[in-house]
Amino acid sequence: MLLSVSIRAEMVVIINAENEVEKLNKEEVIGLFMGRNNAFPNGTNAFPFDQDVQSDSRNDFYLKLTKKSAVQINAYWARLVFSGRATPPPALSNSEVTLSTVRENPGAIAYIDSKDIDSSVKVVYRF
Amino acid sequence: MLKNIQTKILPILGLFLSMTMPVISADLFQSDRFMLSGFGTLGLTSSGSDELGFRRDATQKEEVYHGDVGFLTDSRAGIQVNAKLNPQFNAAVQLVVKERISHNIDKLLELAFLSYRPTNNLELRFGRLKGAIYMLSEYRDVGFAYLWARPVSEFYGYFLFQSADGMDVQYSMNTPGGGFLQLKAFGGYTHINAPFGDTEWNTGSIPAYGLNLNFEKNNWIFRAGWARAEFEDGDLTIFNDLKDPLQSIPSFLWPDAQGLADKLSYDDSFANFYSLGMTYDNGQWVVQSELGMLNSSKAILPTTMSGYLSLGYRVGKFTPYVVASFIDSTKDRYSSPEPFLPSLQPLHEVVVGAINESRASQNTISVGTRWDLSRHTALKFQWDVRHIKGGEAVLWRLAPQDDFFTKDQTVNTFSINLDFIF
Repeated sequence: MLLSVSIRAEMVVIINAENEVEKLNKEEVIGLFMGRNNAFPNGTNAFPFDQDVQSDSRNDFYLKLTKKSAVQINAYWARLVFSGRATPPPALSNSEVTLSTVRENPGAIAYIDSKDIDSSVKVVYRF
Repeated sequence: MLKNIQTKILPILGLFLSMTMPVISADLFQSDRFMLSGFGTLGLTSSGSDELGFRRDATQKEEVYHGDVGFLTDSRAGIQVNAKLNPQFNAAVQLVVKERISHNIDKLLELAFLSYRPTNNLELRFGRLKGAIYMLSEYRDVGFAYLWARPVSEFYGYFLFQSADGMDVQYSMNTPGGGFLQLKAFGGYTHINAPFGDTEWNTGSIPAYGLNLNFEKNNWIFRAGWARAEFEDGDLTIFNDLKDPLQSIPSFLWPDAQGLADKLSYDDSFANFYSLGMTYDNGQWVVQSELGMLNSSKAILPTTMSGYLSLGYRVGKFTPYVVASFIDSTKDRYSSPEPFLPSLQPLHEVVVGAINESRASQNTISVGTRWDLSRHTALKFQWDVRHIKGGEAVLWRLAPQDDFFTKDQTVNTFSINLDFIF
């Protein structure tokens, strides 16, 4: 599994090109994807999107971001969801859908393999 | 039951519908507005002695005696619907089926609220809510969410209150250096519905409120909480049955009879729950500990301390763990001068026994492992060894033939639980 992480291309966090945010730090990315914050640092509403729940991309992203495995991430969300405190980001089926969702939604934030990005989105965080 | 539904559920559902309909009517079935999710546990428990019947918490009526295998101790299932109405308004409803004294819809409904976020930092919720009393209080039925077979019984088993109807406020903020601070306050009406010997303890509405502070940073979570419940009425019928004879006894035969009758009541009393908790999780080591104290204004609700320390270590899909826990009614047993008339001695014994009935003192060591079968299912094996102090066993059910349990005992519990979420 470690091997598969290291040979993958770099994972990046992307937002809509029109979004005024230029950079996010690790804590800000954690805050948005882990249900702590609902807005970018400048106060505009943020809508995080996950990759498919069973995908390696999602697994890799949270492992790098929080050192938590997919099971631990699911247990974390079970605590928040069934307490009625927050809901996880909606999941998108693949990179193409992720790219088009971020392109069309000014508040969207998602993660994607860097080889799949184009100029219609803005990279705000690299691992 | 009908009255309960009319007085409690309808206003909540009415509020829910009236506030959500205008917002959602435009695109009712837009896909990402609604989220259906659920959780469950299938558990087998072998426990108990000939005198003591094991249960997960003191609201359970079904118990497991020596030689029995119980399916109802830990098995449960819940279903939840969340509705995202717009960035400011959310709503959720959760139903939970588990072993309870009664199973009407009012009891099954554990969450039903409307949430409003006026700013990114502030959330207000109205409706039926689970009080954030201890670390696991808001998700104690969701086995997949924690490490053990069940929330530590010594700590969570003594808390009898159901979900509360009212509101809560949560203020959260990021602190410098990547910390995250949450302050929660809640207030509402709750109730107790628990077995007590052969009878039930059903209180009316009990005002309850509390505060807690949660701080997360890197691998650490720290928590401090306080909650308070106020008993207005809802005395046990068994207490009333004892009070009447006591009040008719002339004081020259039993000087303390009236004083004892006054002790057999929850009227105008309160209970405070203080708690501290911490979690450390670096991806490999998982350490969690909580410490709590209950104090009240009544001898029938004795001052009780409880706590646990859990150590776990992740090895691939397995997380073996060991937990040390305790509960201890710390004050001396209530005692009262004996009556002058020897024939009143048995009644004296019963009344003093009833006043001391809610005591709980035991020490426990648990070992077990969580085995993550998939990203949504986990299997748990757990073995608990409990040393219970004679006469202080309110967490347990006494076998029907045993009116009093007087000798210290050691009881083993073995559990196999399958937890899942969807």
